[in-house]
Amino acid sequence: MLQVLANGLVNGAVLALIAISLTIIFSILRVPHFGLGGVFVWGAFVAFVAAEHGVPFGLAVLAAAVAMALVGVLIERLAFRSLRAATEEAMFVSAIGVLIAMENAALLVGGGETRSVPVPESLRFVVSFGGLVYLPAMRVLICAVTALAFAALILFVRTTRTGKAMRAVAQDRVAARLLGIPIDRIASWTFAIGSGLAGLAGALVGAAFTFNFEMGSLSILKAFVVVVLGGLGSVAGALVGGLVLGVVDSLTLTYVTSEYKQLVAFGLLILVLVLRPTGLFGQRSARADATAS
Amino acid sequence: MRARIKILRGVQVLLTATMLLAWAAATSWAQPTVRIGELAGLTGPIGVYGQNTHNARVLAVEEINTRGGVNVRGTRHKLELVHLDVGNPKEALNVFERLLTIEKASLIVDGLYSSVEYALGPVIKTKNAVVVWSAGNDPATTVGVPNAFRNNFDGGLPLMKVTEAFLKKMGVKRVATYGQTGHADFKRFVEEYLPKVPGIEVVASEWHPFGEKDYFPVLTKIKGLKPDAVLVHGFYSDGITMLKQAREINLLPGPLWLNQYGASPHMMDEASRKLFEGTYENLFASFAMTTEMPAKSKRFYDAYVKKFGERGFGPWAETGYDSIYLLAKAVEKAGTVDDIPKIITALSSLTVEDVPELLAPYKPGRIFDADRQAYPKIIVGQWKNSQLAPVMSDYGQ
Amino acid sequence: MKIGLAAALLLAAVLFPLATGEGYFTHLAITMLIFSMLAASLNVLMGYTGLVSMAHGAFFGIGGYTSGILAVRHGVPFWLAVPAAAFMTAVIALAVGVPSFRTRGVYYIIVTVAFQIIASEIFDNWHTMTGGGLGLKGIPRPGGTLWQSKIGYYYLTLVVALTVHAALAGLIRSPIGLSLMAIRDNETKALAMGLSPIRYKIFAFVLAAAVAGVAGSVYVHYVEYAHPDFFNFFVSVDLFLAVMLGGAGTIAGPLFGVFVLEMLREVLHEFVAVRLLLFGILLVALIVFLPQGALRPLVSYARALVPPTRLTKG
Repeated sequence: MLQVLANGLVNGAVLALIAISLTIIFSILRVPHFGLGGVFVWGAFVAFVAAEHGVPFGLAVLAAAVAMALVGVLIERLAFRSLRAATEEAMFVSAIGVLIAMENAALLVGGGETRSVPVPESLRFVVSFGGLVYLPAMRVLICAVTALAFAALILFVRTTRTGKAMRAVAQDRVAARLLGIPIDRIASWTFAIGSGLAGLAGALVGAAFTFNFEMGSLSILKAFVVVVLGGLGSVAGALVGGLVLGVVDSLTLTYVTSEYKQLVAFGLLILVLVLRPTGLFGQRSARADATAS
Repeated sequence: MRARIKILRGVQVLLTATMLLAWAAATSWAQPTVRIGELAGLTGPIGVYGQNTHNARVLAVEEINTRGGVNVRGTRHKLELVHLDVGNPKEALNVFERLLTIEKASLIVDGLYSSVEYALGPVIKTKNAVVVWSAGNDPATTVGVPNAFRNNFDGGLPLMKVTEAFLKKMGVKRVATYGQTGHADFKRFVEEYLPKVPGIEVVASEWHPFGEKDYFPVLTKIKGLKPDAVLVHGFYSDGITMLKQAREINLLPGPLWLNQYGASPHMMDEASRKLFEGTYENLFASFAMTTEMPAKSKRFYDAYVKKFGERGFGPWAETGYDSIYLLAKAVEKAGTVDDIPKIITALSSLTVEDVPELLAPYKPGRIFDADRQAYPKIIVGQWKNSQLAPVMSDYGQ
Repeated sequence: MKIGLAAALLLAAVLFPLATGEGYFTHLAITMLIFSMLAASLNVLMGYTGLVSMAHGAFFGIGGYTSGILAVRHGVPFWLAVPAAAFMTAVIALAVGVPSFRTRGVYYIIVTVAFQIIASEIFDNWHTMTGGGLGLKGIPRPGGTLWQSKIGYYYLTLVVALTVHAALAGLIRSPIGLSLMAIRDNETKALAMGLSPIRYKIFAFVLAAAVAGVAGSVYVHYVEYAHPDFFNFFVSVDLFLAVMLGGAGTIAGPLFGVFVLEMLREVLHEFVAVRLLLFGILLVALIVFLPQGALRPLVSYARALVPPTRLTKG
């Protein structure tokens, strides 16, 4: 039982890590950036190539995050900047385009195979928690990174100038501009952080699990579900949403059904949203209404 | 002045090039061509399987053309492969019509999902065309489609029989299965066929969606049931992820592990091959990807590697290659390139001995049965030192 | 001028298969007609009611499977199977729709995504009913030799599609349509005006689903086969793209969107392995340069070509 919960929590942490990157971009710029799925794939790919060329594991993962942060800035310029005044739906079209293009670029460059980012011998052991729960070290590492990323993000947004500007943009873009906040630069920063996190997630998932060119669309869809389950605009919500979904999945698979596992998970999601129409942690603010129009 | 000379020189080069091109075109037109349309699966999840089928066909076409083409009543015809990429049944329907109408190809080869083959069935029936499927293994795709042939094995009864024989040979009593949802052939095997086999008990039948990342919960459950054998089925891209986790929870090495992935050593990197070590695989009918490669297959394999590299070489390469030779031979035998009924008759009557170039291990004699299905040997191989070593093989009839 | 254009298009649609015969273009036209119904009904939701649904593929499938299962397993003729499909889809839409309207905006989108994924899983796994991944084979064309040919089936589809489009366009121009738009633009104000937003939303949702059900039925009887991949999440995304590329909230836009999207896919088949990369890039380019959809700028460009004197008349 404890093992089942632990399995679920770890899987939830993976979901949460991608979900956090999605939620930053969505809550600040209102871009439903499904293209992050493509960034996720490329993050894994960059880390793989780096590690294969002898770059130490930690550095390879870092390189993936940095490279994807830069790619994120580029994507914002090309695919979203001129759509800033457009509807969320229009931005969603662009995001789907980015996702398809990036996944297939990965197919062309790297082939369709499933691979793993090589993990150093020192990380290939199983951690025992009091002899009750066993988890591979890489999975524990993912949990730690998720927690770290979460804390760092909260700190960044609360204390730094750029972070405060981001929050201002999230609350009211027009007012933020009137106050002299450079929206373009904030957008670049937001995309850099979100994409960097997605790249980091891709590299870690590619190491702890596996990666291939088309894992992006499924992962990003799940992440989107997690974001909404937690409540839009709430980073804590994304974290909790991820953990909840991971645990539900694990319990369903072990005790109920593997054949209809989506039915259980997504049925529960519908139920939650019907009972709490703004997610687990979403505020009943004007935002949900504004989104409707 | 100098500029003008440059322009004149340019015009001269252009003219020469045009003339050369025209000459080349004229000579190539001098030889009549037979167009073979291909539904190729080079993108999406099928891409890793579809690429080697397509490459093998390109190779077969080149070989035949360098030998002077296809001999139809004394006239040499060149083969031309027209391939369009397809990703799902809806696109396949569009592309099939396009190959016939726009590309004017009525000899069609397909290397895709079985669902595409089922979807095409009703359309193919109504067309003056002949289709050879050399991939996909869902049951009975050719039944009721009088102009569709399949030279890959049938994943229905034949595969089930071979699997049963293998499990019995290994003394397996308790089986746990873990398949990808939507693979209804495997579902039938697990829910209808296997429970009726005396002496074998299905202790768990689990399913995962395509692209699943976390197999821990289900594998942990299977481990607790202590089965003699674990039988898995789906795309090998998911298989790699699953096997990695089976090793992480020490389910492997453990029970006999039989994959039905159609995975070959060249379709993955060394790290992934290590994950497969010791497990078995039986979703293939091609000795070319095993340690027991016949001389003919070896020649083909070498030519393939020379042109495309060994990366990606897989289970549908030989059947893909064969599909072109089967069509070419049928056209020669029928003595026509456009009388489709005659070509169908010729194709139906072909024997393995008629087409010495064939690579897959077909049953001697007539290649296609009354339902136009071929019976190459289904092989069970074991992963040893990153290679597949055959342990048994059977036609499954 | 608009009427003249419509008449010309109609005439072209009627004469079209006589020129193209039994082949590729007639097939494409039938497919596009069916998908135009899907896009138009989704547009009633997206463009006029402000509800972005990612479950239209599921309703397409529920219609397709209802009709296919009735025909294959119970011998129900086409003419009864189509209304049965519409009815079944409408009932399910009602059951799903009523609770889902407590959510809004992105939350609502996710509820529809969840419904689509559940529906797909059922199509995939309920194999005694749907045939699972093997698909449902042997769905017959309607009786009579006329419908066996592509040309015959084209006219059948054309009549169904024209009826649907006329009905939807009529609805949008009717007081009901105006109420829907009022709700889309400002729900609170609509409520103050005495409209019941929930009731209108449910009406629009059920209607759109029923049309998708009809489209599903017409589709599976055309291809004589049903498979989960015909109705999966990606189909819902495709329909969303079609509506957006053509222009949501215009009557003709989504139809044009279907045309653009299908043609784009068809042309790209030739580029084999790079086709999806190109598709993604073109998608971004289209929406970045034409965020309002492709039809509106095209029309204004065409207008600019016509001398202004005639424009005032039209």
